[in-house]
Amino acid sequence: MSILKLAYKNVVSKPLNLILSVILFALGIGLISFLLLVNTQIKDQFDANLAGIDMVIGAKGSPLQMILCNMYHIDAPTGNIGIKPAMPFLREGHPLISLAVPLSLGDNYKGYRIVGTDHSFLEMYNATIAEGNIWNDEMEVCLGRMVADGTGLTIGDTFYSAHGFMDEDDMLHDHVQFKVVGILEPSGSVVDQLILTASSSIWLSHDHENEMNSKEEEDDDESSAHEEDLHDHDAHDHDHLHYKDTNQRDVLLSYEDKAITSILVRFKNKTNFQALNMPRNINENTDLQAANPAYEINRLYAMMGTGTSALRSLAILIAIVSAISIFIFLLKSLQERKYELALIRVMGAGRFTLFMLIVMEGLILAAFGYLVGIILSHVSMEILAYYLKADFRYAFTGWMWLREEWSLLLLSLGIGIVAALIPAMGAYRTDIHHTLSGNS
Amino acid sequence: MIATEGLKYSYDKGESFHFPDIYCDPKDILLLLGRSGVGKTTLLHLIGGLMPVKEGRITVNNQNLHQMTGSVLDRFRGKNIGIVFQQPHFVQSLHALDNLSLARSLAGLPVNQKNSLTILESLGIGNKAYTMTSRLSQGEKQRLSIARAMINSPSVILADEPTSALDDHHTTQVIELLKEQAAKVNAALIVVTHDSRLKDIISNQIILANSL
Repeated sequence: MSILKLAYKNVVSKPLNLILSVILFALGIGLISFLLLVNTQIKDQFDANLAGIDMVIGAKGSPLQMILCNMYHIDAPTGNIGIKPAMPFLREGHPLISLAVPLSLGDNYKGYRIVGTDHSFLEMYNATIAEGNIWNDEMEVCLGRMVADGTGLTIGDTFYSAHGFMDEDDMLHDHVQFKVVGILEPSGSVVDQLILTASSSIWLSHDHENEMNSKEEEDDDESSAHEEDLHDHDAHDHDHLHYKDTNQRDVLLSYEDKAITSILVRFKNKTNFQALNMPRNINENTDLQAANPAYEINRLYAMMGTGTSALRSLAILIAIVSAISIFIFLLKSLQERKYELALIRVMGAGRFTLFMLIVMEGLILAAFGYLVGIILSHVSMEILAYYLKADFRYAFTGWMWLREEWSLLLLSLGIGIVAALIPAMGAYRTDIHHTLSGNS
Repeated sequence: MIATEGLKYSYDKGESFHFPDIYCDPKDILLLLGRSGVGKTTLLHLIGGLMPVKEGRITVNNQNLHQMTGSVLDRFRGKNIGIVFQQPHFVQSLHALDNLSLARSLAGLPVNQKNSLTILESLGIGNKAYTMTSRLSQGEKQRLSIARAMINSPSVILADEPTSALDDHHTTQVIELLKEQAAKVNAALIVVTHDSRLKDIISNQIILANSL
């Protein structure tokens, strides 16, 4: 019968008080741990997908939206940019740019975004092919690992894309089929949730639709911009290089009149003065918009930070209240157990043993609270992850352990000890004679 | 064996007691009889090592109790002195058997559940070993507190008013039980009481009176 076991028995012998104290404690600790889990994973996701991208160029609009759309694939594009104005950045041999990746967005398959790009995308994200081959012709696609797992598509399968970013049946482009030719290695980055294809595949799927629409709307004498695209496309067909067995970038650049969504840029030297000034020059002197991802993401953190710090204050408040509840739990039981504590001393326990008994009771309450809080936060995170995955296709999880949670354990035990200190001093001062003769 | 010599105690409030010398051999039984206010509780707490000795000497088993302080006294008390209180109190969160185990470990002795069970059985409450103490009847509680007093085989067992709430029949029974258990562990038994019925049962007696 150790003091620890006695402390445990004492704590669990008052289940109602125990539950109250533990729930309060668990709420505080759980909230802090939950915030840690959410913040860490969001930051990890943002950081993992920075991928050494120094600048994003797209249509004018919200720079943050442009970053979120083109790097994180969680928002709509700000618009499109023509190949012609984008050409200087895409052409090889730019003095400041080491890698420029064109992106064409706008379609999805079952909620997974289809990205029209070229092989430079794989280089930017260090992605490699796990099965099959890289796409080498229009309408060929490579799937990110999550897409392959989520849709069950394998090499050789075909599918129709849908317009927009949501999985909606009535938006199907049901005229041109995509064909899966490869599946990528899991990378832990956004690439896992993308379907990669050639830029021209996107145009192709849209063009065919326009073609259909235009046939259906023959009476309509007004021709849309898209139709002009289409006609231009037909007219220019002979000019264009054939996609297969040709330098993809040359193919892309030959479509001067087409549009893409954005360009992801990596500089040769990040600290080069001219490179640092490039976004501003683009913003001031062209119709394009350029933004620095690190800067925009920090701005986003700052915005999230307000909410997070409010929640953190709430968590600290709950932690203080729970410390007080442990304090009251122990103080109350101390008064109820006066005679019992004297008795324990009669049986041979010293003053310090009583002190330790109460401190251990505080520690046990705190440990219970910590345990329940941690379970609560991880289960909540797993539930949240389920919804985040459904909405954004990002893989979050509740089943991860953060180093900070060990610190949280220490913090909890610290709170338990501090809350127990005054009651423990009271137990330490127990006077056997006075208590047993009923004089106190 | 327990012996006292020139034991005095004065409270800060001014109350002071001068106790007669006491001597009790192992297996012997001594009755300390006195009305309330003559310092019975004070004497019990002094020889039980529950409060510091200010004047005089107490020797338990050839060891000087009056020279011990702090944790040495705590440990000595746990090992060598068993006390049966007037009101049987236990650690509420533990069942009967665990209360005995606790008494052993607090005295620094190894827990021996089998032995504890044997003692409970010899007191007729073996079937209550795993019952929470709050569920025991008054009689069962008294038996359990006797068990706890003797679990560490002490040199001295002190009984504080063990019979004051009992009828004649049960009074004899409890004293017999105490005698029997004390003899089993070779302990000196001191019964402190105002219950004059015990005069006829215990022949070795000291009457406490106001020393002023």
